[in-house]
Amino acid sequence: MTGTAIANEIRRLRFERGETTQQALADACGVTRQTIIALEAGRYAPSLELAFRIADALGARIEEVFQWRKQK
Amino acid sequence: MSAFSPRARLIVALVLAGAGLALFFGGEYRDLPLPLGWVGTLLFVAAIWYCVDLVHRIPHSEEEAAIAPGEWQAWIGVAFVGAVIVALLLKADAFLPELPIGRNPDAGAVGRSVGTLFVAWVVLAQVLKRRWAGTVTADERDARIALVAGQWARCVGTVGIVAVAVLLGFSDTARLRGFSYPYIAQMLVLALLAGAWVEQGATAFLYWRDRRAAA
Repeated sequence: MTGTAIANEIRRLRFERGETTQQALADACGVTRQTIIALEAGRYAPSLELAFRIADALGARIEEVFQWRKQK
Repeated sequence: MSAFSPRARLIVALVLAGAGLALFFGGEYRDLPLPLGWVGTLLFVAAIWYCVDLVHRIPHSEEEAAIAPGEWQAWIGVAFVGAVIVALLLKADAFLPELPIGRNPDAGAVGRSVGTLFVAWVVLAQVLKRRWAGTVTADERDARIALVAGQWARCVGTVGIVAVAVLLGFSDTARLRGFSYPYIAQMLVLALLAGAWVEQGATAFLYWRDRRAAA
């Protein structure tokens, strides 16, 4: 719930894949719209299952959507 | 009232409900020849009933959509549990007589006030659930927030119970005579309520912090 070490491209992919709304993505993944907002803002790291569901809904591979920001 | 928007009418109804609650708590103690406590109850119930009817007709706004259902419930919980704690603290003296609560009319009145608050809380929560019917209202992020808030609540509840135990264990017998059994029971209930209030407050704070950072 604080800033996470997992970056994501959800916002960019949403707009590239037909301007999917946050609510539509949330409905497709079975989460609240506020969780999508928190994910896009980097405030929440999803479970592996939710990460796969988001990637599937966006029609992308999981590594295209989520990246590990290695701590130095 | 029809000249105002549904949102303005809802705010007015909530203010009336608050005024009804204030009369409910304070009415019996006023030196006036009116049954203000009863009027307050009637006003509160009527205002809540009006809100229930109105809340289904108001369209969802963008601001409302930005706040998670869990956050709405948590802020409402902060208000209601806070009101119960304040009511118990303000009327703490009612529990001082060495009488079972069933035979103490003052303590019984406090119990009814607190019971009414809990009923109002449950009704309001159900109204909001109906407003979100058919949508996802909680997911793994909500569960994570509930877990963290629950940990805070356990800490505060434990500290409260231990504080009561220390107070009782280290007090002189003469001093303990000032505390009746109902009073000690009320202190234990307050410790549990403090934990519940912190849980609601921490939940609301965690949602608010994420929402603010994402804005």
